[in-house]
Amino acid sequence: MPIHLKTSCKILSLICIALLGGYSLAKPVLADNGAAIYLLGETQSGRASIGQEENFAPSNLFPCVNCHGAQGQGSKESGIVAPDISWGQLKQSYRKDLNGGYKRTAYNQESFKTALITGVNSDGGKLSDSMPRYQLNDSEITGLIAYLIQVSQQAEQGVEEHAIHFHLRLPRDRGFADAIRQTVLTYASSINKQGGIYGRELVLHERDTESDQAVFGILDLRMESEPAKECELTTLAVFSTRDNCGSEYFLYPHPQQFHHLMVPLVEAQGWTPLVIGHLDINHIISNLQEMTDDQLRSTALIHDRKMQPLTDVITALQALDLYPTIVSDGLYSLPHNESVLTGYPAPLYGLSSPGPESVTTQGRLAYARLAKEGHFSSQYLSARLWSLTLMRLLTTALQQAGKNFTHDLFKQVLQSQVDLQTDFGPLLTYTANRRIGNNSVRLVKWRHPKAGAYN
Amino acid sequence: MLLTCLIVFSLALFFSPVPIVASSSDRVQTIPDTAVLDQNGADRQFYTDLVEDKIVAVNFVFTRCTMICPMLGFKFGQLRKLLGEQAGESIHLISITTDPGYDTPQRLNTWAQKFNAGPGWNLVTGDKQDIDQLLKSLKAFSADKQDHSSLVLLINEPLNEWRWLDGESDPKLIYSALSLWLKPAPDANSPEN
Repeated sequence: MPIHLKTSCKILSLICIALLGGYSLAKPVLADNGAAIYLLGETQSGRASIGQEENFAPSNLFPCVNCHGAQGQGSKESGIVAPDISWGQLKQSYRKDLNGGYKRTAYNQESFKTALITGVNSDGGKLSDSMPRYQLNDSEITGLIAYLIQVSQQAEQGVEEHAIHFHLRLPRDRGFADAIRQTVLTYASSINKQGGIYGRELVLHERDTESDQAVFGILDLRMESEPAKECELTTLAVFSTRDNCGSEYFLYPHPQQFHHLMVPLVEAQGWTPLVIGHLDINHIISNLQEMTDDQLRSTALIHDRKMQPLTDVITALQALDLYPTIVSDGLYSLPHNESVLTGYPAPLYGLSSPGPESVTTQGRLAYARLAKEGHFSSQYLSARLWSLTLMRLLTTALQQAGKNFTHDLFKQVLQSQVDLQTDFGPLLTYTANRRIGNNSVRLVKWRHPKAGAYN
Repeated sequence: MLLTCLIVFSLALFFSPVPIVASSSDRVQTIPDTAVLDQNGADRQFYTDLVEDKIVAVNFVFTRCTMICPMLGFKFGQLRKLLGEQAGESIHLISITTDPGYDTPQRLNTWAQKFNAGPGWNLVTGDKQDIDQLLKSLKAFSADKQDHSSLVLLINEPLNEWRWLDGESDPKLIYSALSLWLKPAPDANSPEN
C-alpha cells in the first residue's frame, strides 16, 4: 500500500474513532443534561407555568421526579395519577399506569415537546392542570428524551426485550425437585407458547447451572428453611426462609411459621388465640384451667404440628375436661387417629391449604392440559399444585404490572393480589413478614370422613 | 369603585370554572380549639387565634409530599401575593400538616419559604391525635396521608359559612371567592357620609 494511502487510512480511522467516540460520549452528556432537568428541574429558562400561563414558578420547584418517580414509573397521590413516562412507555401506543391501561397515540420527539411546553398530549387533548408547562428548548428536549431512554434501558436487571429471567430454587429431595422442576417448566413453556408475557419469554434458571445470568427475581420452591443469600432480589417463596435478611422483597405464599397467619384468622372469628408454640402443653393447660367457662368457650388453641402431636394435645385436654376450640395446621395433611378427633366435643378446625380439594374446575382442566403436555406422573400432586399457585401469582402480577414494569410496580401489583383466584389453590400471601392477603384462606371444620370432610 | 370590582368578581365567579366543590351555611359548623404550633414554633389555639371572627383559606399539606403539595404551596404563595396587605388583615391563610409526626414547625417553615411565605400565612402542626381530630372536624381527614385532601376550605367564621374549592384552582379565582365575603368599604361620595 502506498504511504499516502496508508496515511489517509490512518487519518480516516482516527476520524472514525473520533466520530464513534464522540457519539458514545454525546449520549451520556445529553442524558446528563436531561437528568438535571428530570431530577432537579434545572432548565435554562428556570421557569415553568402552573395552570394559567402567566403563573410562572421556578422550574426547580417542580422537577419531573417529584411526580413521575426516579425511574419515570409514575405515581399516585390524592387521586391524581402521574403516568409512567419512561421513554419505552411513551413511545408505545398503549399506556398502562396505576389506574389501568388505555390506548393513545405513541409519542415522538415533536409531540413530546408539544406536551411539555403547551400541555397538549399526543392525541391533541389537554394534559391535566396538575402537570406544569415547562419552557424548554430543542436541545433540552433532546437531553430529556436521552435521559428517559437511559432510564428505560436501565430499567431492571434480568429483563430483556424478549425475555425475563428468574432463578429457580428447588428442594433438596430429588423426587420433589424433579416433580416441581417439571411442573414449573411445563407451565412456563405453555405461557411462552402463547407469546410469553408482553412478548417476553419466561426463562427459569437453576442456580447451580447458570449462575451468571442476571435475573429479575427468584422463585424459591424449596421446602427447607434455610437462610436467604440474595436479599436484594425479589423472591417469591413457597415457604418462608429462616432468615430473609430483613428484605422487603420476600414473598411467602405459604408461610412456614403458620401462627403468623393463624392468629389474625382466629381473631377474625372472635376467638382469643392461644398458641402452642414453644410452650409446653402443660403450661398451656395451666392457663386453660384458670379460665372461666365463658373464656374457655371463646378460646381457640392454635396447634402447630411441628411442636406437638395433635392427638397428645387432645388426650391431655380431655383428661382434664377442658374443651377449647382447636385450630390446627396439620388437620388435613397428616394421618390422625380418627377416633381421638371424633371424641373431641369442641370444634376442630384445619387450614385449607393447596391440595386437590382446593382446585377449581378451571384448575382441574388446566392441570390436565399441563399434565398431558409435561407427562406428569401421579406423584407429588400437592407439591405440583403449590408450585402452580406460585407460577400463577407470578404470571398474573407480571401481566398486571405492564410491559415496562419496575421492581416497585411489580411489588405493588403483587401486594394487590389479595383475592387472586389461582384455580390451583389459595394463596397465603406474605410480604416483608406481613400478610397481604388471606381472603382466600379458609378455616375448615373437621368432621369424621364418613360425615364428609368439610362443612 | 370597590363595589364595581366586587360585582365584576362576583360575575367572574358565577361564570368562572372555579369548581366550588361544596358549600354550607345552613348548619352549624364546629371548629375545635385545638392547641397547635405554628411555623415559628409559637403555641396557638386553632379556633380562637387563627379562625375566630376571620375569613380564612385552609389547605392540607405535608412536607414530604412531592406531588400535589408543592402545587398547593405554590398556589397559596400566589394567593398571598394577590391578597397584598389584606393577607393577615381581612383574609388569613392556614396550612395544616397531615403528617404532624414528621412536620415540625421548622420543617414547615423551610418548606413554606420556597413558596413566598410571609405574614398572613400560618402553617400549623401539633400532636398527631389532636391534628387528626382537627382534620376530621374540617372534613379533611384521611387515614393515608398520601390520600390527603387536595381541596381548599374557605371559612367565613362570622357567617359560619364554609366552601370547598379545588386546591389546584387558579389563585385569582380563589381570591375572587374570598373577596365576595369582604364588606365593601364605605363610599366616600355616598350621601350618608
